[in-house]
Order: sequence, then structure tokens, then C-alpha cells
Amino acid sequence: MKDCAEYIIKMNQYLDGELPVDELSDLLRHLDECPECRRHFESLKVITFETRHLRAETPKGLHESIMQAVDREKPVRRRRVVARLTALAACGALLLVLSNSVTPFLRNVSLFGDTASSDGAAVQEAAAGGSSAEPEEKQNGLRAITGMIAVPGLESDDEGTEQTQPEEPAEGGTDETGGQPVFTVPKLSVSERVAYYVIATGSKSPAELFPVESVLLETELGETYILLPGTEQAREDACRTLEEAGYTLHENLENLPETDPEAENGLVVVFESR
Amino acid sequence: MTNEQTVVRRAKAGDSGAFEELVLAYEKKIYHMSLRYTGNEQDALDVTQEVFLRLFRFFPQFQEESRFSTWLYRIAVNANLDFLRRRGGQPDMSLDDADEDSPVFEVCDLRYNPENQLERMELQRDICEGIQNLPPHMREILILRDISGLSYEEIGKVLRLEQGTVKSRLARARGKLGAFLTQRGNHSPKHASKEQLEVARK
Repeated sequence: MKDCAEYIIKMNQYLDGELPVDELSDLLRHLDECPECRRHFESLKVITFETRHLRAETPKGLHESIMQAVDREKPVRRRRVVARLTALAACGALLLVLSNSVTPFLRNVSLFGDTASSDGAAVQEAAAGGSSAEPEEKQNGLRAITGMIAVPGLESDDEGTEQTQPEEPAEGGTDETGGQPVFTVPKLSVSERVAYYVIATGSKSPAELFPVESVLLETELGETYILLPGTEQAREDACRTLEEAGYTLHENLENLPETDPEAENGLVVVFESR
Repeated sequence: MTNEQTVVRRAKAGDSGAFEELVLAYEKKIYHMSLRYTGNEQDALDVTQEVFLRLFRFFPQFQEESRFSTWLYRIAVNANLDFLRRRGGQPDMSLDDADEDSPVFEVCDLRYNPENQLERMELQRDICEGIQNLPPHMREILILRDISGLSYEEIGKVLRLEQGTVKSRLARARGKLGAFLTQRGNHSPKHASKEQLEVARK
């Protein structure tokens, strides 16, 4: 039977077109000699033939139902990614905090460098949100902002993510950094490290430059968050894409959360400086 | 780069038109595969939807080291297995899982008259039932080969199996299916003649 077992495998290979040519004559010789294998072979031919000819009528509307399901999935997937990034607000590794009141000012100012204008001062004041702001912070482009304020228009997550209420920054947030600017993003307290940050400014939304699914969030106030693969290649591609489209990249940022080269994603944040 | 690779890259980058092209190219195959897994049209439709939803969700993770179809079939196999697990329990007449190392193959002996349409329909119906009664690992390999038409190499990649395992498992799966059909009364003393072998030889 052991030999027959081997020939049974070979006859299956033969019926699948997978038997090496030089093994065919040996199989056929065995079938000549072994009535039991011959019967099995005949049955196998029938089984494979009929199985391969099973018909399946595709139900009407199959395609439409798939595409509708995928379309329904699109916003869900985006919310899911947001949910992943919004957990653990107290971890202290916040990216940028831009309050609603601050952001409109940001549109009119040079965000970075030592060219703070009077608008920059306005940013500073608004950013301070009533708290005392250290004068030296004016030397830094993007201003230190405390407090985290929810972004209007951000969809609530229906998969269990708790709404982040306006709250104080993570304990020791600003102080811990010795008065350095702390940049956070409304509702995007990063609970897991990302591989890199790309911060850019430009005069319009960059959403169309990136795959629709990578656009995490666009606020009405002109901030766009884009989640990309965490690879160096993806980072370089994003930088090149933005530069070619006329965006200004900003590299000398302080107090960004730590990055992790092994992280799955990288984050691009673009501010519209209209 | 093949045309499909181009479409896959576009779809992965978020081009919804390219994604739909892939859906069109594979939806019938995935539906048929799922129909043989689940045994009914509504479940097959649900699983097919689930397969393409997973494709959509996981697309960013697709590495082009493997062929797109291999990756998609792997998603489909997993979605079907998950569905069957959720549905719970194997059918009553589930055939025992064969010991992979066992040298024993079940030898089947079918009654078959290709000209009798009624018999053929009956046999096909029994084949469908028999497939669903196979142990999961035999069912999937038989479906991938005889329904989806994958080569041994592709099956090996989808199921992450060695070629030797693909060969022997497929042989066992068909043997089990044959035994099921024989139990169902599709048996006959009619034996293959040497003349019929001549046909096989050609």
C-alpha cells in the first residue's frame, strides 16, 4: 500500500498538470498493473472534473454591495486611526496644541524663525490662553500653547474612543521642557510614537497630494494631518511631494515627541498660512 | 511591471478607480471560493464583502514581495475560516481530520455516467456537500486547487506550506471526498478498463 500511496499522490499530480514528465511512464505502468489504483484513478478523474465544473451563479448586485461596503468603511477607517492616536492623552508626548482661538492668527504669521511679527505676538497671547507666557518664547516661531481644545468638525469615534475633554496638558508638560515651546495637536495626543514628523506650511490644503486614506484629519481651521508609512522612503517622498508643490518644510522644531524608527507610521502636519 | 502590478500600486496609493478594477477582476473568484467554503449564497456574499473590506483596510500593509493574488487569496482563506469559526461547529457529518503522516489514502470508487444529467447533478450536489464536510485544512486546499485553479506553488504560498505537504494533503482531501461520495451511494462496481487508461495516456 505504501507504494500505492505514492502513486496516488502522483495520479493527483497528473490530474493537476503537476507531474514531472519523466514520472509519467512509471505512473502509467503502475496503473496497468494495479486494478485498485486504476479504480481510484478513474474516481479521481470524475471528482476533479465535476468539482472543476461546479457552477456558481454570481448574485446580482455583488459588485455594488462590495463597493458600498468599502465606501462605508472609508470614514470608519479614518476614525479608527484617529482612535489609535488619541488614546492615553496623559502620556505627555504631545505633538502640537493649537487652540481654536490661536489658529486663525497662525494663518497670518510667519510660524517659524525669528521673524515674529505683531501677529506673532497675538499668537503668543492667544496661545497663552490666559496663562503667563514667558517673553523669551517670542523668539521661537511656533508659540508655546497650553491646554488642549477639541477641534470642531472632528468626527466622534463610534468605536469606543472616549471624547477628549478640554484638559490641562500632561503633567509637567511645559515646565518639564524648561519653558521651551510645547507643540501639541488638538485631540491628537500621540499615544504611540511615530517614526518621524514632517511639519510644513503652505497656502492651501495638501490633502490632494496624498492618498485619500492617509489623510487623517483636516480641520476647518486649515490644519491637515497625514499619516504615512513609517519608512524613510515614505518620509522622503512626502518631503519631496510637499516641496515640489510649493510647501515650506520646517526642520528646526523643538520639543517634538520622541520618534521611533521602528514605528509603523510617520506623521505629516501641514498648516495653511493663508 | 505587469498591468495588474500597476493597478495594484495605484490602488494601494488610494486610487479608488484602481481599487474597483481589482474588485471587478477578483470578485467572482472570491465569491465562488466562499460559496464552496460556506455552502450558501448569503454567507458567501457576506464573506466576499468581508474579503474586500479587509483588502481595503490592509492594503497599506501589502508588500510587493508576494503576488497580489497570493495575498488576496490568503485574506480570503482567513476570512472564510473566521466566518466558519464564528458560525460555529462543523456539520454533523464532518469527516475526521486525517493524520498528516498517515500513509493511508482512502480509495474511492464512483458510479458515473457523464451522459446522465440527473446523475451528474446529484453527484455535483454531493461533491458540494462533501467539500463542506472535509476537515478545514483539506477543504481549503481542495477549493484553492479545483475551484480557484491555483497551482501547487501558489497554494504553497497562500497556505505557507511546503510543496510536499501540498501534494500529499490534496491527495488525501480528494480521497476523503471520494470516500464521502461512495458513502452517499455514488458507488459502482464499474472499473476502469485498460482502454480508458489509453485515453489518459494521450
